[in-house]
Parts: sequence; C-alpha cells; structure tokens
Amino acid sequence: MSEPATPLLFVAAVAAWMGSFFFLAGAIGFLRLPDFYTRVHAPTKAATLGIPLMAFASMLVHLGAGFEIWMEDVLIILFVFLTVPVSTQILIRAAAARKVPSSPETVGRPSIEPVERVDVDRVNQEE
Amino acid sequence: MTTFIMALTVGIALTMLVSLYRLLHGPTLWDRLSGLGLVGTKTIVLVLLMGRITGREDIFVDITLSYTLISFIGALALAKYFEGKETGP
Repeated sequence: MSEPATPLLFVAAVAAWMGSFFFLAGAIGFLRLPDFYTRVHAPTKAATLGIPLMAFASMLVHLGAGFEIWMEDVLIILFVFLTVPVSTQILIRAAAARKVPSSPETVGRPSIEPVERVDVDRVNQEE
Repeated sequence: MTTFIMALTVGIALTMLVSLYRLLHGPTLWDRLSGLGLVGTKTIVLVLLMGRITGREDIFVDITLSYTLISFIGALALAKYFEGKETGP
C-alpha cells in the first residue's frame, strides 16, 4: 500500500519522528540517570512531548484521510497536557515525604516534610 | 506508509522493554511506579499506531482516550496509597 506523499503526511511523519525521538530519550534517561529525583524527569519529558506529537501526527493523518475523529486526538493532547504534570508532581511529593535517598551528585535536596497522617488502624485498635 | 508505522511500532516496543527493566529491577518502589507510568505512556501511543495498522481508527482512538484516563487515575491512586504507607523504599 503506497499513498501519495502529500505535505500533510510529510508534516505528520516529521511529528511522529520527533515524538519517537522523545520516547527514546525518555527511555535512555530513565535507564542511566543516577537517582529517583533526576530519573523521574525523563518519563515525564517523554509523556508531555512524545504523546502530543504522536497524537498530532495521528490527527493530521485522520484529517488527510477524511475521518471525523480528529477531535479525539485533540482531546488526547489536551488531557495529557493537563494530567501528566499533575500526576508526576504528586508522585515526587509522595516520594519526598517518604524520604527517598538522592545521590550525592544531585544538587539540591527535597525539603518537603512528611505529611501528618492519622493511622486509622492504630486509632481503631486503641479505641 | 504501513512500513513506516510498523517501524515506529517496533521501535516504541523496544523502548518499552528498556523501561520494563526499570520496572522490574528499580532500586526503590518509586522507580517502579514511574516505570509503570512510562510503560502506560508508551501503551497509549502503541494503541494509536495499532489502530492505524489494523485500519479501525474509530474504535482504537476511543480506547486510547479511556486508557489515558485509567492510567492517570491509577498513577494518582498508587502514589497516594504508598505515601501513607509505612513501608521502606
């Protein structure tokens, strides 16, 4: 199956290449960075830049093929931009509150105090 | 174009294997959690590409959208659960 190389498909191919480059960079960084606080940076970069570029390429392909579903690709882009930073920040706050060790090469230390939480099981036992 | 999309799918599956290593051998629990997030992220794109390969985009885009939702809620719930738990790293 060979389709004519329209400019729309060319832009979609460039966007798909860039997205897969960010996925590769995220995987390599996730494998090689020294500790958790630096390591969590790489998957977030892959998610916030890789998925929107890929969904943008998918949107262009759907537009070129005359499908009506390109709005859902726009929804995917919006949703990923909204949710991925939120979930990553909550993950890092939880890890910092649990005092995950950081490597000595990492500049800066997490300064979040552990969240005061009521241990429900212990309270029930004491009552 | 099918060859191009096949090549992209194989490449993303290979990078998924790399992040699976961190998910299995991560030094701390939190590395495993973020590895789970990365595998979920790549699954989203993989499902999009699978839709283009099989030619059923109208179904696979819906699956992608709902998978994005489920992955976000799952990551949030797991992070909050392990934050309150008194386990080691």
